[in-house]
Amino acid sequence: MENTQGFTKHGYPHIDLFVPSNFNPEEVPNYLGKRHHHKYLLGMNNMVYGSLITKGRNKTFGESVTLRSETIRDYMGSRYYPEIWVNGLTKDGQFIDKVSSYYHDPKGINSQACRYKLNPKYVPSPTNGVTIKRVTITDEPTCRRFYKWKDTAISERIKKDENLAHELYMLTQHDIKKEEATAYVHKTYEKDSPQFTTRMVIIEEISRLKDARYTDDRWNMPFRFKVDRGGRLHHPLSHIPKDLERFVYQSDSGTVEIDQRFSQLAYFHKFGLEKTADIQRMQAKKKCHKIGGKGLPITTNLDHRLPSDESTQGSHSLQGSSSYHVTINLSTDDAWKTALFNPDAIFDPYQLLMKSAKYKGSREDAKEKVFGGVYYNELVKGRRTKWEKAMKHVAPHEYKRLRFIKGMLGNRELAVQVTRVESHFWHKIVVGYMRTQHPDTLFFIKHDAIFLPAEQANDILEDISQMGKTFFGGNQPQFKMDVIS
Amino acid sequence: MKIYTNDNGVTVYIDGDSVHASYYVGEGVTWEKTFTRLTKKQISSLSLDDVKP
Repeated sequence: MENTQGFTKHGYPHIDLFVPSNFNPEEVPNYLGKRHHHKYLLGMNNMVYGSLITKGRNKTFGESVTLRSETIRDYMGSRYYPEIWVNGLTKDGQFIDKVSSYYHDPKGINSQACRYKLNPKYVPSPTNGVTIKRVTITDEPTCRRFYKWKDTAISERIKKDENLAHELYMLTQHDIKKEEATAYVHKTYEKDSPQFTTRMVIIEEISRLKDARYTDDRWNMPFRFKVDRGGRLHHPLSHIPKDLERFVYQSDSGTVEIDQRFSQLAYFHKFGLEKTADIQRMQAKKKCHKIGGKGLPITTNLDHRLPSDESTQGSHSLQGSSSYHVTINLSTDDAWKTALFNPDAIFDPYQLLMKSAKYKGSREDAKEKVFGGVYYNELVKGRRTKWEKAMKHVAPHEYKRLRFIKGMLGNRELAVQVTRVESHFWHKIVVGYMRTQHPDTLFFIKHDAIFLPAEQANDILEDISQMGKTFFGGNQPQFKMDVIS
Repeated sequence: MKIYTNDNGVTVYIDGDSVHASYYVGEGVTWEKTFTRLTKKQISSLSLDDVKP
C-alpha cells in the first residue's frame, strides 16, 4: 500500500505532530512522565500550527495564538490539564507565554480562549537555528485517545439524530473488493499521479469502514465522517470515484444507483420559489406595519446587494435607504418546468439551454458551463454571461429569481442553501424512509444518489419517486436507475 | 496523503505541498483545482468559488 500514513494494530492512523526542534518535554516544569509525553508535544504542536493559521499570508511563528482552554482540557484530561498546561508549558512563559486572558471575541465563539505566544527561544527562525521537527505518535492508546477526542463532537450529533446514526451504521456494513480495486488502480493510473494516490487512499479508507466501533458511549471512526454546512455527509463512500463504485460490495445480487436527473436545477427551482414566497410574506407584513403605523419596521441589510440591471428594468425598485420592494413573483416558466419534471419532454433543461446558447459541445460540458456560468458564478452588475442570456431567454422568471437571490445571498451561500434542500430530501426524507421501512437494507448516499442492492431497487425507486413528488409540491422529479455491479 | 473536508463541503487531498481541492456540485459534476502551500486556515475556508474552473 502506497499510503504514506501508518496505522496502529487496531487501525487508528498514526498522528503527526510538529514541534520546535529544540523542544524537549522532559525539560518542562512538573513533567508528568512518559505516559503524558505526547500531551506536551500536542500543546507545542498547537502553538506551531496556530501561529501559522492565525494571521494572514505573511505570518511568522512568533505570532500570538488563540487557544480555547476547553479544547486543551478535553484532550489533556481535566485532572492533568493544570499540571501540564498551567503549571507546566505556560508557567512563567518559559515555553509558552500567556499574552492575554479571556481574549474577547465579538462573536463569542472564543469567549473562553486566551492568547499565547511561543517563547522566542522556541520560535523557529533561521537566526536562532530552530527548525520544526515532525514527531509521529504510533502507540495504540494515544492514537485511540486522540481519535476518541476528535470523534466526540460528531458522536454527540449522531446521538441526537436517528437518521444520521442509521446512515453511519449502514456505512459500517460496507466493504470493498480491495485486491481487485487495487489491481485496477495499478493497471489504470500512473503510479504516484494524483488520481492514483487519491484512489488508493479511498480504497484504504473504505476497507476500514467496518472498523468503526461504538464504545464508551461514542463512535470511534478510523475514517472521516463529517456533515458540512449544507447538510451533506462526507465519508469515504460519498467521495468514491465513479470508476471504483463497482468494487463496493453490498449483496450477491449486485448494486444499483438511483439518482435524480437535473437535481440541482430542481432543488433551486424549489428553493427559489420558497425564498420568493418568504420575501413576499415579509413585504406584506411590512406593508401592514406601514398602514397600521404600529410595530417595528422590517429592515434588511440586503439592499446593497441588489443586482442593478434588474432594478433598471423595473423588476424591483428600491424604496428608501433601508428597505426594498420586490416585484419578482412566483410565476413559473412552462417550458422549464416541463423539462424539469416531465419525463416525456422533448428537451431536457440542459438541451434547452444549449439550444438557446447555440452551444455545440457535449451535454456533459454544458452542465459544467451552466453551473459555472449561471448558477454559481459571481453576480456582476450590468453584465451577463452567454449562459445567463440563454437562461433568461428559456426561463425568464426562474432566471430573475436566481439572479435576485444570488444578489441577496452571494453565489457561495446560494450553493450552500441549494445543498440544504438536497440534503433535506436525501438525508432526512429518504434516509428516514429507509430506516423505518427497510431497516435491514444496506445502502449509502452519495450526495444526490442512493446505492442499494439490486433486488430491492424497483420497490424503493417507486417509493422514492412518490416522496419526491410530495417534496416538489406535486411535480414529479425524474429519477434514473443504473446497474453498478 | 491526508483527506479532509471543510465546512463548505470542499474536500482536500493534502499531498506534501500540494493541495488537491474538489467540490461536488451535483449531477456528477465535480470542480477540482490544485493549490500549493496553503495554510490550514486557507484550507478550511476554501469554497466553491476557489475551485470553480
